Amino acid sequence: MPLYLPILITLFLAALSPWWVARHRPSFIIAGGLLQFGMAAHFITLLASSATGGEVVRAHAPNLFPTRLIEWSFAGNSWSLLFAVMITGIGLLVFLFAQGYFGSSAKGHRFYASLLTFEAAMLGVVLADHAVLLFLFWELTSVSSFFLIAYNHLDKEARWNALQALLVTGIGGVAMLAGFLILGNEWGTFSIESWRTLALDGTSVPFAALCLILLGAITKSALFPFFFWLPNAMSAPAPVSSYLHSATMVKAGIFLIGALHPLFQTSQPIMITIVVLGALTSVTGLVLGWIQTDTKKILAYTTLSVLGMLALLMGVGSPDALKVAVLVMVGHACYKAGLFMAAGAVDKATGCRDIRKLGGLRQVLPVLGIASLVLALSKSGFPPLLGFVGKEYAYKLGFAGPGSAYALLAFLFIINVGLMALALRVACTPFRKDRPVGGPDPAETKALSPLIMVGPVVLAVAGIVLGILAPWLLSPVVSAVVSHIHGQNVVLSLKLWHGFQPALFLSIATLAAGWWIYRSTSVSGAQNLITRFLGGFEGAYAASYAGLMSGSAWLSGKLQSGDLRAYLRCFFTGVLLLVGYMWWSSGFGFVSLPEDAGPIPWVEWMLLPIIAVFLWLIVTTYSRILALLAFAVIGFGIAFLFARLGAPDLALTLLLVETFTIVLFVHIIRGLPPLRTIVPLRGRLLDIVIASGVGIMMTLLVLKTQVVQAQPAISSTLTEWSYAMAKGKNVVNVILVDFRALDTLGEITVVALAAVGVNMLWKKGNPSTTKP
Amino acid sequence: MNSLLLHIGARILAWPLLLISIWILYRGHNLPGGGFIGGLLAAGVFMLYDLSGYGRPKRGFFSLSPFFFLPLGLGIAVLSTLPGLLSGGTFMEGIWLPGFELPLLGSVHLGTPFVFDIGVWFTVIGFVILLNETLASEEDPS
Repeated sequence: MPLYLPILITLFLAALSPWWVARHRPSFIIAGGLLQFGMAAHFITLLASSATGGEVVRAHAPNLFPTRLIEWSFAGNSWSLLFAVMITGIGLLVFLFAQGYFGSSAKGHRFYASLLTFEAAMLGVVLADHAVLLFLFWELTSVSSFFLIAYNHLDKEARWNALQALLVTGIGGVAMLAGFLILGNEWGTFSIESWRTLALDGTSVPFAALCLILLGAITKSALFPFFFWLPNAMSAPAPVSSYLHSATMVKAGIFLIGALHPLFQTSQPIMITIVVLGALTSVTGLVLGWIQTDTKKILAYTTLSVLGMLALLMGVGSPDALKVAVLVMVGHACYKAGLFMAAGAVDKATGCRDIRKLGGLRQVLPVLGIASLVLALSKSGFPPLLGFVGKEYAYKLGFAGPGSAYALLAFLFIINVGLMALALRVACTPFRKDRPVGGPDPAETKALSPLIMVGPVVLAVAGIVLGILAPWLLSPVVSAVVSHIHGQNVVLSLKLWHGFQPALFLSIATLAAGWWIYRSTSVSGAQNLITRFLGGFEGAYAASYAGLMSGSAWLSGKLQSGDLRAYLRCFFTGVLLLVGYMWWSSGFGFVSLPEDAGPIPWVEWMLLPIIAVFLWLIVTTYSRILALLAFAVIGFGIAFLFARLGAPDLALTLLLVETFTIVLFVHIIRGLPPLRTIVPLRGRLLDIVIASGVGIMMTLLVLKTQVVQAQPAISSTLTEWSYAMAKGKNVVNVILVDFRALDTLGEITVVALAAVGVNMLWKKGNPSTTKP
Repeated sequence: MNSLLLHIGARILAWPLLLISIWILYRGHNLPGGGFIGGLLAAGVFMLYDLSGYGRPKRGFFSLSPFFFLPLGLGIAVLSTLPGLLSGGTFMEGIWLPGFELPLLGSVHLGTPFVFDIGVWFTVIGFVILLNETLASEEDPS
C-alpha cells in the first residue's frame, strides 16, 4: 500500500463526513473508527519493520504539473512512522471520545470534517519527503486547527483565540517555507532525505535558512516567546485539545527539529538557542500553570513545560538526550491526551472546569478516577509506568554528563516536581473525598457515554503496558528513531531497573516532593509579578495585531481613495518612471524606424485623421454616449488595421468586443450623472503631461520592439509546430486551445467568476432588483 | 423602450447566427475563428433578444440561463484536460481521433483541444449574457 494512501482515504472520508454524519451517524462512527484502527495497525507494522532494520518506505504519487518545486514524494522512516502511529492511534481514541462527548449534536458534521482533515494533514507533515509538500500539509494543519479551535464560533473569544493560533503558526510556517526555499535553491533539491545526507556529509548549511526553519518549529510547538497561543487554544472542545494540543500538532515543531536534526547540528548557536528557548518554555509553563484554576488550562501549561523539555533535549542532541526526548514524547502523548479526555469528561459530567470547585466525584465516576490517577502517575514518573522510563533516563543523562550537567539535573528535577504536583492537582482533585462548598453536586452529574471512557482507560493501560514492556517493545523502536534523528547508527537498550543509583534516589525525591507540594498547596488563581511579565508576550501580540489593523486601515485609506483618476495617475506615472529609468540607464538607445518598413499604404494613412478627430471628440465632449461611440470608432479603426496587417482573429475579436462593450456600457451610463468638469485646471494640466508622456512612451516602445530582438522570435517556432504537433493551421487558435491551454483555462475561469461577481455586486447594490 | 422590429429581427437572425457561430467555432483550428469569437457571436443573439425588450423565447436554446452555460462550459473545458492524463500522457495533452471524411466539411479532425474550445464557447456565451442581464436588470423601474 503506498504511503500516501492513508492520507488520501482520510481526506476522502473528511469530504464525505458532513453528508454521512447527517444521514446516518452510527455507521459513520463505525467506518471512521475501523479506518483509523486499520491505519494505526498499518503504521505499527511499518514501524516494527523499520525498527528491525527494514528499509525506508518510499512512495511517489504522479504529478499533474511536473516541477521541481513540488513533488508528491513521501518517505516513512522510523521517526515519521513513530509519529504516524501516535497520530492514527490517538486519532482513533479521540474519534470515539468525540462521539461520546458531542453525542448527536447537530454541529457534529462540521467537527468531523475538520478533525479528519487535520489528521490527514498531520500524517502528510510527518510522511512528506519533499520540503514544500511538508509545508503544504503544515499549513493545512494550521488551517484545520483554526476551524477546530473556533468550533464554538458564536463565542467571540474562541474566534479570537483561533485567529491567534492561526496567525502565530501561520507566520512561522511562512518563515519556514522561506528557509526551505533558501536551502532548496542552495542545494538543488527539496528532498528532506537528501538534505540530511548532505548535512551529514559536511556540506555547510545556510545559517539564515536554519533560523527561518527554526522559527517555524518554535511557533508550531508554542516555544518561548510564542507560548501564549497554546493555552488560549483551550477554547477548543476537549476532543480537539486532547488531539491537537497534546499529542500531535504542537509536536510538529519537535518533529521538524528531529527530522532536520543533522542540519541543525551543524550550527552551535542554533542548538544553544533551541536549548535556551526550551528551558525558558519549560519554566514559563510551570510558572503560569501554577496559578491556573481551569483544568484544561493547567494541562495546556504543563504541555508547554514538556514541549520545552523536549526542545531542550533535542538541542542537547547527544544520542542519550535524544533517547530521553523520544521516551518523554511518547509517554507525554499517551498520558496528556488521556488527561485532556478525562478533564473533558469531568466537564461534560459536571459542567465545571474550575479546580477549586471540583471534588467528591470518586463515587460517581470511579473508572474515570482510577484512569486519571494512573495517567497522572505516569506523568509523575511513577514506576513502572511509561513516564518513569523517560524520567529515569533523563536523570541518568544528568548524572552521566560532565560538570555543567548538574545544572541540567537541577532543572529537570524542578520541572519534574512541578509537573507531578500539577498532574496530581488536575487529575486527582476532582476525585478527592470531600466536596468544596459551592461546587457541583456529585449526585447531579450527568451520565457519561461509555465511549468517553474508552480513551482515558486505553491510554492508562497503554502507559502501564508500555512501561513494563519497554525493554522489549520500545528498545528497538527508540534505537531506530534515535539512529535516524542523529544520523548515525546507535544501539540502545532500555531497562526498568537500573539498580541503586543516584538517579533512583533522585526519582524517589521527586515523587516525595511532588506529593508533598500537591498536598500542601492550593491554587488561588491570583496573578503575581512574574505571571504578569509573562503575560506581556501575549500583550505584545495583541498590540502588534491592533497596530497592523489600524496601520493597514490608514494605509488603504490613503492608497485606496476610490477615485479612478487618482489610480490612473499613480499607475501611469509609475509606469513612466520605471520605463524612463530603464531607458535612461540603457543610455537612451536610439529609436529608428525599421529599415524594411516600406511605404505605408494610403488606406492606413486615412486612419490617422479619423482617429485624431474622434480622439478630440472624446476629450472635449460632455456627452457620455458620444464619447463611448467615439471610442468604438477608434476601436473599429484599430480592428481594421489588424485585419490589414494579417491578424484576422484579432480583428474579429476586437470588432465583437467593441460592439458588446457599447451595449454593456449603455446600460451603465443610464445610471450615471452627466459629465462635468470636476478637476481644476492645474490638475488637468498635470493629466495632459502624464497622458502625453504615456503616449510618447508607448509610441517609442512600439518602434523599439521593431528593432530589438533579444531572443529568437518564438512565433516562427510556434508556426512550425502548429500543424505538425497540434494539427491546426490557425496558430492563434492552436496557442489558445493547445500550447497555452492552461492559461486559457485560467482565463475562462476568471471570466466566469467575474461575471458572477458583477452579478452579485449589482444585486447587492440594488436590493430592489427582483429579477428571477 | 420595446422594439417589436428588433425582436422579430432577432427571431429571424437567431438560428442563422447560431449556425454561423458554430461554424466559426469549428473552423477555428485552421482558419480565423474559434471558441471565443464564436461564443461572442452566439451571445450576440441573446443580447438582441434582451435589447428588444420583449425578452427571450420561453423554450429552446435561447431560453437557457447563463448559470447553465457557465458551469457547462467550465465543466467541458476541465473534462477535456483529462483524456491526456488518463491515457498515460500529461495533463491537457491533446488526444486526436483519426481523421475522417464528411460531405460538406471535408476531412474532419476531432480532438480534445476542440472539446476544450467548445468549453470556451459555452463559457463566453454565459459570460456575456450574464453581464448583459445583470447590467440591464434595472430597466423599467415599474
